[in-house]
Amino acid sequence: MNNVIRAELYKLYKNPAFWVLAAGVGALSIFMHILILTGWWHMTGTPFDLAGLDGLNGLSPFIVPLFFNLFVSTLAAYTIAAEFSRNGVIKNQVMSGNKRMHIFLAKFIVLSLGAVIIVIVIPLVTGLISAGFSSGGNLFTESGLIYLSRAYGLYFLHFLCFTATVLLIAVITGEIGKTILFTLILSAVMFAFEKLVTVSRIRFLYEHTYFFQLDVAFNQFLSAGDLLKSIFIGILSLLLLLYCGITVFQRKEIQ
Amino acid sequence: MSEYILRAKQLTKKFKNGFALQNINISVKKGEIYGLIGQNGAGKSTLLRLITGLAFPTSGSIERFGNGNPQEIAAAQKRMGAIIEHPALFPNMTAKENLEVHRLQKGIPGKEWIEKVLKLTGLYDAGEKKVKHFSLGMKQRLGIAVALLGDPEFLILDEPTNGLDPTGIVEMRELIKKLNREKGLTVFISSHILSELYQLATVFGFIHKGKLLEEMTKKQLDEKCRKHIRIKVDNPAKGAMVLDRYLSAGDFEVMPDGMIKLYRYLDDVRSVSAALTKSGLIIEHFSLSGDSLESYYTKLIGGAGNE
Amino acid sequence: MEFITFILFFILVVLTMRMVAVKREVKKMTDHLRKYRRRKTGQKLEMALFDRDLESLGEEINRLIDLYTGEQRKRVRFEKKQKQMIANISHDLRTPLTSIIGYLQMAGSDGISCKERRELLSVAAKQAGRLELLMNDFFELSLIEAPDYHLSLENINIKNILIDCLVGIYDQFREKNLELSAEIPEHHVMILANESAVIRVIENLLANAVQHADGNIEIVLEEHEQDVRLVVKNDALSITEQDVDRMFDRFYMADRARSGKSKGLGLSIVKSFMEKMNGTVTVSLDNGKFAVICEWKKIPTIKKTNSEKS
Repeated sequence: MNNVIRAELYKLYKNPAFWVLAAGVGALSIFMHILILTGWWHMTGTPFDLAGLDGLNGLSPFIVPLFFNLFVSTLAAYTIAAEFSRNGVIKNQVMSGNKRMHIFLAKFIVLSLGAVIIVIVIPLVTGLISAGFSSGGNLFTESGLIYLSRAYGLYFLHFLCFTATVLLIAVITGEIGKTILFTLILSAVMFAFEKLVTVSRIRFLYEHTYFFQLDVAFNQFLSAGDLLKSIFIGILSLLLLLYCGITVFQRKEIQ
Repeated sequence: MSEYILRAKQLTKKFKNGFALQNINISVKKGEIYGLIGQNGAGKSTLLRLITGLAFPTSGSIERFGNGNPQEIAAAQKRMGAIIEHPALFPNMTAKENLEVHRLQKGIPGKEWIEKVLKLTGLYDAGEKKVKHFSLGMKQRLGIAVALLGDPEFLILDEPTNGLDPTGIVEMRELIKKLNREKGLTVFISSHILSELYQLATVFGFIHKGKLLEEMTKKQLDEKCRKHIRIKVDNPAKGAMVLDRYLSAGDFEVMPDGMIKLYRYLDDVRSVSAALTKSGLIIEHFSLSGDSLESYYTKLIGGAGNE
Repeated sequence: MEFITFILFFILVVLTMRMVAVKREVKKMTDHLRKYRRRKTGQKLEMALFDRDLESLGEEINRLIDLYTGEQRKRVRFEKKQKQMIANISHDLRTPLTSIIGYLQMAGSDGISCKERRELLSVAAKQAGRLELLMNDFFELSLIEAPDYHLSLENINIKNILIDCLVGIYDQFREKNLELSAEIPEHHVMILANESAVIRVIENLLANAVQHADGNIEIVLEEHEQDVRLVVKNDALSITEQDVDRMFDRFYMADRARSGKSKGLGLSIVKSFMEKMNGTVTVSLDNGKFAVICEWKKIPTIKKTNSEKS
């Protein structure tokens, strides 16, 4: 599997879509941090605000699925869906003598890496740097750091579930446009659940999806039980999604 | 090493709108160049997809390198190289980068291989050029280069001459012949033009509407496609003498069973039989045989269409 | 302190993982080579590419496999060629032999006149003669092509040899009313070759030209920087492009020889001789003119002593 991962990394590195997204998100993130730090834009009630990390308020858009799904789905569309429809290179990969399961997992690992870099690492790093500059370092209290690492650790796990979902969509549709569209629809539907649905049973179901847990990760206080539950939901969802993805990919007839 | 590189039995592939392949039995021996001939839509690409493991048969079995276990297809794929339909390439990468991706995913040690296949396919000077600037012919060559990476034992090419100019076609044919001769590479190649494969393949399979109509060696095809008169007389030696002397027909052969194949006087059959009878020979068999390559092919397909 | 322990522990884990990976890879390579040795696979080594040294090892092993398959293919090809040669020779002999037998039977039958009988016998004899020539050609070819057949190469003057050969065949030119134009330099033209082989080559080419020419024959001997070129050109209306492609295919030519369209394996013999003298021979067809071009290496004057030794 080592070889497929290396090939995937090489392809990601050579993919212009990845660099365009990374640069775009970097610029956007810096811009937002500056707006907030200079007081042009006031945000209150963000999880960072509540945790006493108001310097990182600019990060808040990047933890909303309705926003970040655009980046993840675009990346998946141009790295994975394109291989099925646009240039057909998936044929070469499937015929390369690697097990389809390994190919799928390698794609998952590298897509997740790319998505994490774009959606998590770049905003976080730019945020920390600009916050560090503006507040002279007093931002990083011990409790703040603990909060950040706990929140982002949990967020990372559920984020992996999200990339696994997008990968599944990309593999099923195999088309750039459809990948982006279906991801967007899914995120919008989940957003609607979050905001509109109050029926307790459906609400209960929703609260046990990783979509809800993406939000939970940034709760300021999380009991040990809730933390464990969140981890459990994350791991279970991830395994289930990967299992579905592998099964779909193994049965897929490549055109 | 097993004698058969590929053996497919009762291969059937059903799509929603009907059969794409029906009960195909096909076998390719080591060292052969198998030419699969069929019109567009006859099921060539579908068959190649099943062979390479891109798609799966509805029923029937495929044995690759003597192993028919579908779970172990990856091990067989390592030993194959293929182009199915269009060459699959990354347009944003250079030729070398495209090959590097494939080298990595196949796990071929040594970058030297990339230069080697580029040289083989005549793309050495275009190695640093991005594929999106390539002509169709160059893409086709690069596709072959990708397929040849890592020195496969079994090469599968789907209409590889698409987009190549006449010299390109000749070069490709020579390359395949050379690899077959020097490395014992087994090749499975498809085309809709019989004359294109005629000079290359050693075994021919004719596919039409998802069915394999006929399978024959080059020798058998030649026999069917060189027009001649088949003559059997009670005394072959005398028969040969008569042909030589009275008709001064130098162009004939005597087969081990005494059958004489005459390649001339095709328009004047009567004088041949007259000369033979005049010399007191008893004619046991006398027939006109053979077709031109294309008309043989047309007849074969036409016959199948009327069934 | 805790921090250092943690770092050390981390390094230890990484190194252990790496060692396990390398060990696993070496095991996989060993398994593959074992399979290869037992002829279960002909596939080259493929491996996880994470260690450069391991990769180099794989590369070298693959080169070795290349060498091995190359040698093996050579042997297989040679054996196949031999088998085919025997089959082809017997094929080539059968048809003429059958017709000779036919003639002899006819000659031996009753009720034909003496004159007719004589005629039949002479045709049979002519056919047999042609068969003998073909046999001799095959024999000569098999001698020349034997791997242990070496020609001793020396510094010879091809101009003199060419003129001698032309004089020798001049009667035949006159007989067939062929016009000969020869372009031969006035000075000596020295090449590194074997004298008797060069004579055989030139004789064969001239005989071929006489056989096919429908008018005139051009002979050009020219000196180039690196090599000396001999071109024998003649009108040949009966030769097609297809024939040109297969001119050096001895069995094709034998086929034609049998039907009286060509003299035999002359060109194959020329080719074998030229190869043994490190020269080349090519044919071309241009506007109904058929040309055979032979090239020999010229001797650089400085290296004369070396070449004389060899």
